[in-house]
Amino acid sequence: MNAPRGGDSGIAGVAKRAAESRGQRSVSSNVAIKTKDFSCWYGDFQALDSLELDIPEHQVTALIGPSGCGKSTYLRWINRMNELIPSARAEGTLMIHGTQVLETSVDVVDLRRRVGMVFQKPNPFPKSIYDNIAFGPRLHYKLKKSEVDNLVEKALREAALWNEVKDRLRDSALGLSGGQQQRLCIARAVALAPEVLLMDEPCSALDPKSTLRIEELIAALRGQYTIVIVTHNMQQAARVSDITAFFNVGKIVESGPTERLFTAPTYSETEDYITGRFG
Amino acid sequence: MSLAFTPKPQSRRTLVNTMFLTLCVFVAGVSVMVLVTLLSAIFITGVQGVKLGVGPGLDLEEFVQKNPDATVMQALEELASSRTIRSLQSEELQGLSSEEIDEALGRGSRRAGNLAEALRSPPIAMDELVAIVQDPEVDRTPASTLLTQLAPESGDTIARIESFLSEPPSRNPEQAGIGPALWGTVGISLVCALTALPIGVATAISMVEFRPRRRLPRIVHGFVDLNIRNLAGVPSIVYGVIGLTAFVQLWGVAGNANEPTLAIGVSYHDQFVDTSSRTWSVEVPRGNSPETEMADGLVLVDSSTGESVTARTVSREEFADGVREAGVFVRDAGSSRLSDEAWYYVQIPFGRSVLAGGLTLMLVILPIVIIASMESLRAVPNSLREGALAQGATTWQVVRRLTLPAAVPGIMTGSILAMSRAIGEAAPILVIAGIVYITWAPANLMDEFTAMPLQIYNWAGRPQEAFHKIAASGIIVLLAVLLVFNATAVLIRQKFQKPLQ
Repeated sequence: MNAPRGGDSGIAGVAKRAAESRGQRSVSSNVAIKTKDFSCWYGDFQALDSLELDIPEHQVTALIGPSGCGKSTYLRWINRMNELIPSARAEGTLMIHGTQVLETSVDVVDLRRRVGMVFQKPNPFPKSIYDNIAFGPRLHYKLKKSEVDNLVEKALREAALWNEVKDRLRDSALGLSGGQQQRLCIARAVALAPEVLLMDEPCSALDPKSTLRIEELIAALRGQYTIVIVTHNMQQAARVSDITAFFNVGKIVESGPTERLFTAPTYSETEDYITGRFG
Repeated sequence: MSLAFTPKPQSRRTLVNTMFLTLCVFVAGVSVMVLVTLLSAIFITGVQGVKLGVGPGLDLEEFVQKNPDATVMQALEELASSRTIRSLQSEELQGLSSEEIDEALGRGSRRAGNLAEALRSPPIAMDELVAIVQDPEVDRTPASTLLTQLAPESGDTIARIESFLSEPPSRNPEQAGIGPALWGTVGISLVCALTALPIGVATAISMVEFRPRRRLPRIVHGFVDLNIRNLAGVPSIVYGVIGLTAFVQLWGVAGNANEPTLAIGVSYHDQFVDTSSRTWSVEVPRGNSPETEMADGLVLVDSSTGESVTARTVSREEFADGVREAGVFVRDAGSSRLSDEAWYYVQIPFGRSVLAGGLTLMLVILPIVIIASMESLRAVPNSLREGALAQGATTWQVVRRLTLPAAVPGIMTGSILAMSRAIGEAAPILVIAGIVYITWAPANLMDEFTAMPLQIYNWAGRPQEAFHKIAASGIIVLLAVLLVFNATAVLIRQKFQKPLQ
């Protein structure tokens, strides 16, 4: 990592440099995910309280905050994965491109096709690399062999994994390294060409080098997909995201363009967190 | 750096380790010894049991020893009288032509049949027997020649093993076989495996993968789970009683086994013999329909030729006067009812049938199969399920493509154990089939049957020592069948266990 330059000390500098290297790009006005007055509960415990957040299209939005603040919960409500927990329920508005996610009439299967997800721990299926990628498309479409081949290659190229695995597509995915497995999971999600890609701490189980590769990958996917990433790594949020939202105790304390949030946070709570004074 | 506390004595901590290691070696040694003793005891006794039927019976050997100058004829008479035939005369036997003996032994007339049975245990070629009997010198041929003819050859043991596997049980341990019981066991095991596996795995899938979300269904789900776990510990004879009530009798709501409410794949015929001794039959709708009465104009069919005839009846006096004509029946001719069962014959209630036995065994092993399947489904990491669900898979797609293939090895292991238990189970089968003497292998699901554990139990319970040996032979066959079943299951498991992992 480069040494801090001039007045750009620590995390603020990282955010500034990241924004510079991305070039000046205004925050997209198209809202991909609109959240309004969103609350959710686990049994009697209220995990999120009246959330308001607009996630812009084709940009990277980072959700940061201390453990237990509800950022993963929010992420898992976007594709309704939280429904798997029997006691979980939610209220309010959560819209993806105009679709009200929480509506019971919404087809969860279709929703999850449109909203891909990458988990904290790489979870490749105990199948071959090829079958891992082909899994999603095969669930939803009737495909010819050549079409599957093309999809697999395209997804692996997008996830920058093609060159490493093209000679062993039929080998078990479990034989890959941790970083490769996580990129495989990203490729798996990308194979369905989702509108939104959710990442739940995708690098927390990886070494720094693999983390770097994933971050490069996120940067490359930015512009094609709306990416929402939950992370505990402040540096990472500063490096990869356009927008950052800081969660604390079930609420969004502050959200805004990453560079602004990290250089000039409005609230002291935010400043304390990003400078490492708490959490 | 160490903490400033008094350390535990190292020796005592390692002592426990050493103790358990020693115990482990000791237990392994004992178990190997027990296994070897058990197997060798069964094997040695079992081989003796089969050997009983090989070579000449002791009677003849003793007879020749006592009467070294006796002739074949005397020996044969002795052989016959020592069994069931008492009135066999050498002249009679000598007077028969080879065809006659051949036919008599083949056809099974009472005396010749008994002789055939007497001669069966030492397998002797028919032409050899004929040659001995037809020999003009037979009266002077020494009995020792017969003994040589009947002496065990290497092929005899194999022939006896074959006969043990195919013949029905007999009063005579030298001829007793396990054939019907073997096929009965195969039949009920197949029924049991083909029902318990799909039902058990499907139940486990619905219990593990389709857990309800709402409160009341969750309570019901928990209750069912508790029940299944408890059912695994219920003594198997209890299942026998359940099977008797549910499958054999269907709580008595659908008639009994002799008067079934529904029967598919079976037809009943009343047979009449006309005055020319030809047999004709009339089909009746049910096994318990009233007997067909002979009357003019009744249409009868010859089942072998398909020919049909309209009956004309005559009085018994006219018959006595000598009417001998096809299609003419005595007015009060009696009939006999026959049933013609197809391989798919099914009736409700099931009666004491292979189907009822197999389904009862299914009840016995179902909880075991379900619990094993549930455990191996639960062992599939949740992250895989989440990964697939996040791709938009439905719960069934997750099961079909991910969790079930991953759980198959575990499911198969549990099912193999359960099936092994089912094959060796005697108590529930005893309730369903009872101790019955059955001389045929079951040909359809509704046939009465007996199973190997029952047959072994039956033999072992007899006072004669020879039967105890035969019981051991039966146990060897039972173990062999078990091995075949398990080997098949292991092969299936390995086929499913992909090289991935």
